[in-house]
Amino acid sequence: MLLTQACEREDLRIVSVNTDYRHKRHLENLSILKGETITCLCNRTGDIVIKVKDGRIAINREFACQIEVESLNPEDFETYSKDVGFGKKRHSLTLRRPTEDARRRFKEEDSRMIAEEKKNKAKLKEIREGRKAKEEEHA
Amino acid sequence: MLKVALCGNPNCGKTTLFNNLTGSQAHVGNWPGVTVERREGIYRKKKDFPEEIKIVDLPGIYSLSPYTPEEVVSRNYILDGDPDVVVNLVDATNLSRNLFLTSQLLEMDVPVVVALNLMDVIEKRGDAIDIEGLSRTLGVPVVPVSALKGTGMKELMRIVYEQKGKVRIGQSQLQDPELRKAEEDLAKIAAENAIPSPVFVAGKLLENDSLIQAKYPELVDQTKKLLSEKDTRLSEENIEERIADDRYEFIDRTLYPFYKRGILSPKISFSDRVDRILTNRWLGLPIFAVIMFLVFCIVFNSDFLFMGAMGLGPVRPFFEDPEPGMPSLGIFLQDFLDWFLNTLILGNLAQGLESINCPAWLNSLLCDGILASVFAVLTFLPLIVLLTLFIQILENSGYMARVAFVFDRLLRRFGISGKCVVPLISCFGCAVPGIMGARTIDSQRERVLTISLTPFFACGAKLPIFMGIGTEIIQGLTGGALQGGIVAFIMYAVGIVGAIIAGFFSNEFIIQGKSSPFIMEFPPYMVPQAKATGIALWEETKRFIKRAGTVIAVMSALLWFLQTFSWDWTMPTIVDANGESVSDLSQSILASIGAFIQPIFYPLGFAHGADGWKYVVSAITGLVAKEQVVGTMESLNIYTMETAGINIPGAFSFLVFNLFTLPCVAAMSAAKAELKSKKNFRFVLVFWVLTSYVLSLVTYGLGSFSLVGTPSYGTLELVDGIIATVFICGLVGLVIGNYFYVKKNHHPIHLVPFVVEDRNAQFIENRIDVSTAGVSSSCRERKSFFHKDGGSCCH
Repeated sequence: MLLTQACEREDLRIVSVNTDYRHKRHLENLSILKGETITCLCNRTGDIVIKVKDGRIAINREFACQIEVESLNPEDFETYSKDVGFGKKRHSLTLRRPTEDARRRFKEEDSRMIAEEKKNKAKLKEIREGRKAKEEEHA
Repeated sequence: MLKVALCGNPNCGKTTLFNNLTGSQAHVGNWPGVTVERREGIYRKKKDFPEEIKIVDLPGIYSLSPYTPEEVVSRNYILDGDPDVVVNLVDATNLSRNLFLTSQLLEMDVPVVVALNLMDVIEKRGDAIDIEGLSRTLGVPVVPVSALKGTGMKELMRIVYEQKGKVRIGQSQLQDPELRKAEEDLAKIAAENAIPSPVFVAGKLLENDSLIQAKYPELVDQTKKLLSEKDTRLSEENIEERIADDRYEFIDRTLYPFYKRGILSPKISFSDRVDRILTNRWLGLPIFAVIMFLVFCIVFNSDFLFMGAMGLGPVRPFFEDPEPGMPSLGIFLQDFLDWFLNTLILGNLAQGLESINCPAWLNSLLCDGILASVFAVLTFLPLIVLLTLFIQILENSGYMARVAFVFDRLLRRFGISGKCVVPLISCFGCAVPGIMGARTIDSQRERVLTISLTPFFACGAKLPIFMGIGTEIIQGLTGGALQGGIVAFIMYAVGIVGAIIAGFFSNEFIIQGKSSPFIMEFPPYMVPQAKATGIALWEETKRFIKRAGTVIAVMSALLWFLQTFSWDWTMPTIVDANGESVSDLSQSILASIGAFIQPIFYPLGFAHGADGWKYVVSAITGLVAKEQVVGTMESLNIYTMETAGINIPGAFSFLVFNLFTLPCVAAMSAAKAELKSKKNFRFVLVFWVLTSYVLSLVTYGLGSFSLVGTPSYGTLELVDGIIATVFICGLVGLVIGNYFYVKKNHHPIHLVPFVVEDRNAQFIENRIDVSTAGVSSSCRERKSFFHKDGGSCCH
């Protein structure tokens, strides 16, 4: 599928980048190349923010549809069709969204992550203070 | 002298490190592409080493294959600038991507020191990096630093100095035996031809790098021969992709044992969660609008949050007749400064000079000529500083890149890429950095378009014109219905909407072409640093005061002479209503010069009448510095409602003219330098002059419909009204005609035969892979507003 069809929180692998030489080189420099694993962070009707390695990169729709990807967790997402437009121009679009289960799980994961982050912050602070106290004692 | 070049990925903190090492105050920001030019400084602790160390800050690059013009600056310096040591600054929070550049630098014959920046963040997250191990594998020294906190600076400089005079031979970093063999064979040929950094050159030749191919044309055939001789998959087209893949694989494998992720390295970080709201499909634009409205309220709304209009809030302090509501911070400070400068200093000074029998002409020159104008400009200092503060917060928090992304979809319909938003927003501060920032845009067409739109985003110096005329003239003429702050807000909005419309028309009918793709890295959100913000504010304050004290003071003195003397070198005087004799402006040199140019501006509505020439002179003096417009108006005595001699449409027409017209000399020379070709520069100049003239004529024409039936409605207003109506109908007709034309011919009407001249054409080379044909045709890029793009792209 095309990168524009990716959903939020979907893990993807890049299958091919079909653009001209110059832009392809630029994407390679940003580590967007065949075989790379990326995560979709945000999809604004095709305008995409992806996480590549530890960087976040925004790509516009016209360009994102030149990047072909495959989903690494396809079971979490489903396709559905929706009719758009008015009168003669009314046509149906095939769209993707997370399944009910996945949505629930993502929500749970989110809240668990936030709670864990708080806990870990406190833990790290303790460790750091302990280290400081030791150093002071040493001195 | 030791020459040290700082290079690294965009937004990894090179300029912060540079500021820290040299004690300079270069502009920093939390978005990629702040630095667009090479900058040099001397290491500030000169006593530490026996010789001076020159540090060169370069624009950020992702790799040594440049993409935009500012990246070319960096690459050229590293290749041809002959630095003694290259310090490769690496963002430790995104190590594997950053080491891609390192792996290319290591192929060059120059001593490299890797500095791991943002180590404080790594520690905070609980991650751990084995620095010694990394240094052993890379074969160059690795130093942990934190540019923001200033830790590790001495150690870095010590190790850099140790590299002095050392010779490092570049090593191939490729792992695939086939690729490595090819690179090394090619390097041998290059070395025989006495080419510097043969391994690097060989790698670039394999990648089909057009710059290196152009530099060493004799090697291109040999590369081809070598590749075909090998009879391997190497001669296939995707060799550069294979090389990039090889490098990343090597980095990941090298890095794995040395980088331990801590417990605070979540998959979805805090920044991502914030982004989900700020770049939301529906909320993105409204959030930006709310932020801008708040900025407006705090900086220049004389009725803070419209509390007064709603009958709320405390009674305004420092005002003679108490009103409900309170002024915003900016207005409050401005009122205070106005009282301090004009009442306290200027009033007492004039009296003091009179009491010591100072000659009247000197008193007039000092108080009415120079100081009155300078102070009229200086009172806007609080507004400009506050506005700078908000732009700084916008830049340093990392929100700027998101704004560009959110606006991309909207602007793309009008032929402008979201990338243009970043330089255009910095134009709200000053147009010069905005024009230079256009370098980060990769297509020459959009660069020209962005530079031509810069005046539309009113710079800080135009704020006094809007606020001044808004408060002193329009507020009075409308009986308080339109306050100064609202007028300024209207003008900013007119600028932005005008930019979108002008962008649409020039994209559709003049400089046609497709908008370039938007690819931008999002920086992580940061709390703006007090120090960097403070420095930026101080620099802005200094610049403003310096300008008022030099350019504006000199201009005002000059104007005073021109307006006081007549051609026969006498000082004509006239008896005014109060029976005092004052100088007669209408017989002065300035009046005759003004009257000479005046007819050109008649149709614009502000130039006719007895005082019309004064507005013409004010607008023209604005070319030196836009602040001067208010200064000139003050010294020509048209800066109050009673003496303005102008009607409301005329005042708005004057504002519109000043908004869109030629920017100050500094901005024009920056534009000339950036546009490179004379043809493009001429186009931009004509564009500025025409838009300002036509739009202010239309403003007056439309505005004068409100004057119908009053004595001030005359032939001029009638003609202007007709022209404005015809103009607008023409534009609408053009758009409708274009709609049908595009439907039939699949490309828009080309009105003006102007093609952007591209001096960087060698970087814009677009070689299209055969494999793209299928995908590209199904999602064609939009060439016109009415051009449909492929349905398959829709989400």
